[in-house]
Amino acid sequence: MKRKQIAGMNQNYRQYSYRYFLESMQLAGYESVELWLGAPHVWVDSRGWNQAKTIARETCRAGLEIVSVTTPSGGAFQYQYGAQEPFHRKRSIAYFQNGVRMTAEVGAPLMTVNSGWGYWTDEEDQAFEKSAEILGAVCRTAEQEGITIALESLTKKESLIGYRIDQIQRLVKAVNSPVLKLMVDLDAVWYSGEPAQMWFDRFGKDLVHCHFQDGDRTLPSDGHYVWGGGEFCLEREIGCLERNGYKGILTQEICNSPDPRADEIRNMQVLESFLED
Amino acid sequence: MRDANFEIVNTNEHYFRFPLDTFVEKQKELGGSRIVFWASVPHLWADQYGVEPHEEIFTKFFEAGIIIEAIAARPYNYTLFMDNRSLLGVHSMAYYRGLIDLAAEQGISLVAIELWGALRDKDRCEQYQNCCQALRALCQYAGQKGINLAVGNVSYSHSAMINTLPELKSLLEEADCENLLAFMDYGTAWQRHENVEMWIDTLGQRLCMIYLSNARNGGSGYPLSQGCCAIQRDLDKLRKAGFSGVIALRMSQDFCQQDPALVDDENWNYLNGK
Repeated sequence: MKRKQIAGMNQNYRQYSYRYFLESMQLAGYESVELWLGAPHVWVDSRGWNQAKTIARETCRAGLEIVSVTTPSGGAFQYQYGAQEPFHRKRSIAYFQNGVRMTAEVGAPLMTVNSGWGYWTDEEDQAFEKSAEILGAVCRTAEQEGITIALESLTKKESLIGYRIDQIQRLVKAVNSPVLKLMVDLDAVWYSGEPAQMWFDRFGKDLVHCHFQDGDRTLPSDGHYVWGGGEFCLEREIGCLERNGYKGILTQEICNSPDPRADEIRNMQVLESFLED
Repeated sequence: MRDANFEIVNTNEHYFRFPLDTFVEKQKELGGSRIVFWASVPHLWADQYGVEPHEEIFTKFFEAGIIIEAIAARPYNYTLFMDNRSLLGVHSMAYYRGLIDLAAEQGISLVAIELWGALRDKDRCEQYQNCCQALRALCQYAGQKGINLAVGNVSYSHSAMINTLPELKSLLEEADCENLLAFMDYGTAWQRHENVEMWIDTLGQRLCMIYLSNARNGGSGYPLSQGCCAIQRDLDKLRKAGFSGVIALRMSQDFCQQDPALVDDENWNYLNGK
């Protein structure tokens, strides 16, 4: 595993400025970042986006490369990939399409997406159709912009339609886009009882990206910890990636860390035992 | 439920994974005639460009005989702590003005704004002044439409400032707007070792709303039967103190979204001493 494959993410720094995040990445020894397109660092909405070139320039000046992008959904944002109401769906499609365009503008080759969720009262097919519609629209824009789209699963407590491998495979087939690939979020796949090896077995080389952080296997928590804060075996997880010839990015999608800078430094120290450089 | 001085009402926040109809039907079943409306997707779309066509949404409440005591503006990623001329500042102001317009149109007299988004590494004075200026501008806008605004304490996990009663009091005084009232996030206050007596003594009639939930060391937003707060005792204290505002049950823990109707049942059983 090379250092360049390990990417930090600014989602954990939403209570700090982007400059603070970049400094933290430098102090921790990162070379790559996954850019989370959320305020206060970046603005994207259904009508446009801004600061792409500024962000790209600042990141480059800090000696870092933007290797992937996540356009935020759900949680603290109005938009999601499985929006049920027609008005919400229309705004969400426009927003995610702008996320793709911003990905291209900052020079990143890949954007992550998820299945979204339906109402708990929906039939699975009903919610599935809406998700496929939104993802289809996003992929068509990605095809025009030359961006790879990496689809990650969610957990059963988050989504009706995107927590199992077979559901994700169904979505991929329905969208039927050459740019739509797969990714693994370690917390999500472990919580669903389908660890990374099962994903490699099913999708092989189409598995192109990874949110690679510690989490819980036995407790239904939100996970997304620094390495050492959860229950995963780091050596085994890295072994799985290497056995399957994985050369993609391992984004450290750490969330809700009380001191992100200190945690990031410690996280990289732990990972360094497994790096070639 | 109407008590001697105040009204305890439900909110729709934990119905996040259910359509609005589910929430409305549950309120009818509970016999609740008043709510605080958490103005958020999937129940209502509002952003800096406006509010979605919403006649059908408010007709549901009207036909169910439900009166909306206040609009709780979901903060999303908007903030009043940024320079009001910045893009984030401009969009945030537009968003809140849109909700003020909505309140005025629907005859709802109160919009509650959560002061999320103060950054931990930026100049605190500058952010504070930005917030004061933004509140003055919003209060002036709201005042022209007969709307009151309310701001309250915020968890440190959401904002580096206005986490405590003294900070809130200072902010209210600095902003100095007649139609700027206060709400208390009960669980967040508990985490800071503050109690209802302190809030009533400090703010008096300016305290118009309390977001009530139970709390634990890690956070608030728990059902009333799941935490460490002296809920019933504090409700008695509020009665004795003559609190005459709204008490909105706020279930913000994610697990509450799995079966929100059950959470509502548990809360009302707890309040009724069952």
